[in-house]
Amino acid sequence: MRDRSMKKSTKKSTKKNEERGPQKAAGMPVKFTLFLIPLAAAMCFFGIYRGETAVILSKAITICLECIGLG
Amino acid sequence: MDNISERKKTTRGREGGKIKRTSGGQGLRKIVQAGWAVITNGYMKAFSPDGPMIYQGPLKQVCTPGMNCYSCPGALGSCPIGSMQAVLSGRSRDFPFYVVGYLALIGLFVGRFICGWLCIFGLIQELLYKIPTPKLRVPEGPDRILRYLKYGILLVMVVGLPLLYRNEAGAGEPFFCKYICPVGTLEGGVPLMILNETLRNVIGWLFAWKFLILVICIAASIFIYRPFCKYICPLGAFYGLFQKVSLVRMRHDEGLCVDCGLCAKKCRMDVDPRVSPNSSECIRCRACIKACPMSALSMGIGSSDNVTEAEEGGKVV
Repeated sequence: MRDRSMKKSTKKSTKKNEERGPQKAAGMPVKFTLFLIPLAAAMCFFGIYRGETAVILSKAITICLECIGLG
Repeated sequence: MDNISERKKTTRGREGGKIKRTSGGQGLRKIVQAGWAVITNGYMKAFSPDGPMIYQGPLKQVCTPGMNCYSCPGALGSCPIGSMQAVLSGRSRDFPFYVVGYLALIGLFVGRFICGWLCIFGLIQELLYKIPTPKLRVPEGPDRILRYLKYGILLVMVVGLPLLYRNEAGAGEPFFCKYICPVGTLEGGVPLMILNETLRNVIGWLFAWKFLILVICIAASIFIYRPFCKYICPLGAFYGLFQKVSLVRMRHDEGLCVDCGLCAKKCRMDVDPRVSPNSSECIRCRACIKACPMSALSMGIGSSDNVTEAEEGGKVV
């Protein structure tokens, strides 16, 4: 019974989907993401290698007067 | 009945492979949010009268994935937006490779999942929204325009001005932290003022301005769901750029969808998952997945936003 009503609703949904017009098709392929991940990781490691973490640490271990509204 | 429960457990991917659906509802999300807030702000010594004002250890080299002011007495990590501005506003005007790469990595894996699950300010706004009052929905026109504001803030206040402006001494300023960020006021400013008399004595117009922004944010959060995340947060804007390319994605199965609209109704970020399951506004809270009576929505590692029954069988339409 439930199965039949589901088929019915699926038909109905297909019709409604057609009415809604063209849907956004497939998103970006995973391959593209897998290509970007090493790039992002390389950026991250280059920043560490260049000493950016030291800049961040020096800022973060003192009270940031701007952040708290005094500076 | 069995058919439906079977479909609830798994969904087929583009090549016919099964995509595992993660479990957990809004209760679990609240526990994760609260747990993460405690873990990342767990430096209790700073809250004692004889302790240091803030944590000063090496963990602060690491950025937290969500907004978390590094001047919060208990903060163990650094705020990524503050860190980005710290590097950009330095004398050498360096590009913040570490922070941008780190945030891009997170975005590429999970998109705005961080906003929904690991942001302390998001949790605070959600709790404020639970206060039983009439709730407001910003009309569609202004809402659409205001949603772009966070991208403007990211470009101008987080990147542009810290990079370009230099005072007479040659130093730049973290413009977003200084003039806008209510997270810094709430997590850093207010507790430090309470705990330290010297700081209380030097309060000026800037603190008053930032406190006003915080009060507006808090008041707005009672009536509007996550107004800071929707309109202001530059970190949400940054992660939003990766929503459509992230590994973890939302999927909408057109074959199963009966267009009841429950998902769109349930979404408090005002996204219609049927039209745009990976909208840059979605914080991946999974409320729509739980609401869907046909299990037409799922979250997993996949390549397409919308799938049809033919695709499910392994045939790409």
